[in-house]
Amino acid sequence: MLKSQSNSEMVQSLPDALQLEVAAALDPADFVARLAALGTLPSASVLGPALARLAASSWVREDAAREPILAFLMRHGSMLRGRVRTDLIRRMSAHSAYELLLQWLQNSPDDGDLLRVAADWARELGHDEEAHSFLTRLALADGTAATVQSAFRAREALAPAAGRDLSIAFLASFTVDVLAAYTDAELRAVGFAPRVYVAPFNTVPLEVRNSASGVYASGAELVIVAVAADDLLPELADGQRGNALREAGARAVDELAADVRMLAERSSATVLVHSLDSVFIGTGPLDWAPDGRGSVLRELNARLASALSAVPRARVLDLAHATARRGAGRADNPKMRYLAGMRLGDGVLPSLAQAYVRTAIAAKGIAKKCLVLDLDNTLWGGIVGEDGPTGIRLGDTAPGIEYREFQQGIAALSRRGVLLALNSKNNPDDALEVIRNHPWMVLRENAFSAVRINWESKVENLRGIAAELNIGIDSLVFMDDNPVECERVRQFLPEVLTVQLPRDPSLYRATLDALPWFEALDVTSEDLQRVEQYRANRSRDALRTTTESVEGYLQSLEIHVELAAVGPESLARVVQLLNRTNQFNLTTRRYTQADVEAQLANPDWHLVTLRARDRFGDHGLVAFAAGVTEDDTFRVDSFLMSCRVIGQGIEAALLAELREKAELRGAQRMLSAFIPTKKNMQVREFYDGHGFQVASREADGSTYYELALPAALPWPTWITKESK
Amino acid sequence: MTAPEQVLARVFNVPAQDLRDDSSPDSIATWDSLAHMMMIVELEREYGISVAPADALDVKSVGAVKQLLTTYGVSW
Repeated sequence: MLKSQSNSEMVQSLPDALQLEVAAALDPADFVARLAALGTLPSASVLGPALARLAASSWVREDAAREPILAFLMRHGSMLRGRVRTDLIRRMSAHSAYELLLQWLQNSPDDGDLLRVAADWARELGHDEEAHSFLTRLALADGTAATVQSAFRAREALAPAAGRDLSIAFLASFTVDVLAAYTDAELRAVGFAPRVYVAPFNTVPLEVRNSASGVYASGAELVIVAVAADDLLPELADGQRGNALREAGARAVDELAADVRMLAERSSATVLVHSLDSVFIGTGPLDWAPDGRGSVLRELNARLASALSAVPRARVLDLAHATARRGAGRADNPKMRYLAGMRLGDGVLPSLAQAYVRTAIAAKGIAKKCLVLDLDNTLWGGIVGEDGPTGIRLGDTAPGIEYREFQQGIAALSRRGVLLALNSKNNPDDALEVIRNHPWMVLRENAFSAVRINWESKVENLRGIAAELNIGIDSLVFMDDNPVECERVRQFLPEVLTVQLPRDPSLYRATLDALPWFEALDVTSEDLQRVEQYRANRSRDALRTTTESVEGYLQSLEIHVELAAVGPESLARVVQLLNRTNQFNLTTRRYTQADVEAQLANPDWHLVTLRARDRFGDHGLVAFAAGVTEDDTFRVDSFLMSCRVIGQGIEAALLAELREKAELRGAQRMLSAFIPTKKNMQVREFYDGHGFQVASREADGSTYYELALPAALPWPTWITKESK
Repeated sequence: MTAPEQVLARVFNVPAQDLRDDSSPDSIATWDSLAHMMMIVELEREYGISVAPADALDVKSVGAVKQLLTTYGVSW
């Protein structure tokens, strides 16, 4: 009593705005009484801080206090702004404030924060139909990928919505989950209640050939086949052109068309096939010369359209056309077309102008002749002198792939006759070790016409390179990540075009491709002689077109696996797999590098890595398992595989290897476990399918298995085991 | 400037006040690999930065996200 009195006295001695704020924090009834006493509502600047207090105070959860404040908010809620309003309403219970929320939504129908809360509460209150409707409105109003995706996911907890039924499936060579979420929202906006199936990425041939696959099981009425040209034809990234590209492309297109035909014949679905488009094709004249990548890709698209014209219910979606039209005012701005006779929208004018610049440079013959490159943090991530040849970032997954793709872009320039040179401050032995032996290095020693790996000034090195190659210093382009080096070269050699690479290496390739300075109207035979013979990194057979069974297809992939212990070169990758693999991971035990090193040092632990390659290329280290010998048992501690090789039976090869290890150790039985997470449900029956017996099952779904040894765990017949 | 918690709350569809510095994929059910990428996209949009892949993969908690933003010169 005494305390409350002193509170009250203290409050009365404060200015009005502060009085309200304190009241809002301490006593809701007092707050409302004070507002009533004021007669008119204070301005938003006075009320705002008080309402923020209200939002942060704990009594909003208490029933007794809620009634007067709810009544107040019903009348004056529009005074509240954005987050204050959302925070406040989030803190109340769904039951008390749902009506209030609906009222606010009538006035702000596109308020993303309110829609988010409304969807949550509708679900909590069991109004699933309303929840669906709020999620659709949220996805359309907000429009960001993150929101569209989370709205899509939130529907999993709801009963299906009413609406016109549609089963739609995505078969893609790349990640289309977010595209599927956008598609779901747009379909709902026009009254569909879609069921969406997204096949694991890059499994198109498997889905099509397996009559029990998801695409058939889903009963899809519409199948989107989204195969990226850059996945189908890695030659595009390397800058391959002419007949080499034409021939590889024709085979790939025929295989794709055969897959689509098989799908159309085995289902009643309408099949919409993305046309082929490559992010690597530029706007310069060389890519659109008769043998250029753009021209060849156009031929391939004509070939695809012609092959699919004979397939009932198959249609091609012109991707370039569809994406150019995205958003009003990009490719076409109708108002400017009517008023000013502009047939091209202002949105595309800068990129057209940039395309003209490229042709101008080519026509004038003023292209640069030589690209000079730094090494550390330019051709690879990290510093070889500090991180060592195995510690640098360079590979086929991120981080590392951004440097590899940058190197491929440079190789593409070399293929059209641009000379390459190195200018790096390094110990030559450290750098050459990487250039000669790193498995993911694209540019080997013979790619470079001049090499300066030393501790000299980069300015002097550039002068030396121009002299050695007998070209003008103004025909050099110098790329480096280091701002100090770049500034020095700009200052002392302004004739050299100096390009400082951006901080984010994901932008390296785009920075290179944006340079208009390497254009020509055509590649001459002279240019080609200069360039080293391109080694085809793979040979594509026409097998896929003719093999109809899954086994036949897998056989045709020519999968080779190499099983090995963990070594210094693979340790980092193993730790990465342990911590990043979610889907194909039986126990999801996360270990640090120190943990794995301790396991390696313990003779009872057996760590096995698996590298896989097939005729399309090297997948690298994609699977890992660890087992522990405990008396006469062999317990499988970790068993996981990267999702990019799912569906090829590689896991069976790894399991067979573990069994052999266990038997060699004299184990009488193998123990294993499936520990469920939110993300690994696809492997819950993995051990059941490989002859293990269930030993126990726990309430959380964890299942423990046992296999008596010796046992037959068959090696998949289509996989060849390689020894190192 | 918007607080990182507000951005993450939107991405993972959880109340911002439930996010603590040690909140991570282990404690937030909706924080899977795809949502992780969406988070990076949203942070880049919100703060006008471009995050290197090596950094993007490293941030596995709310605290780590804030640390990352600081190294990219973002304050809020």
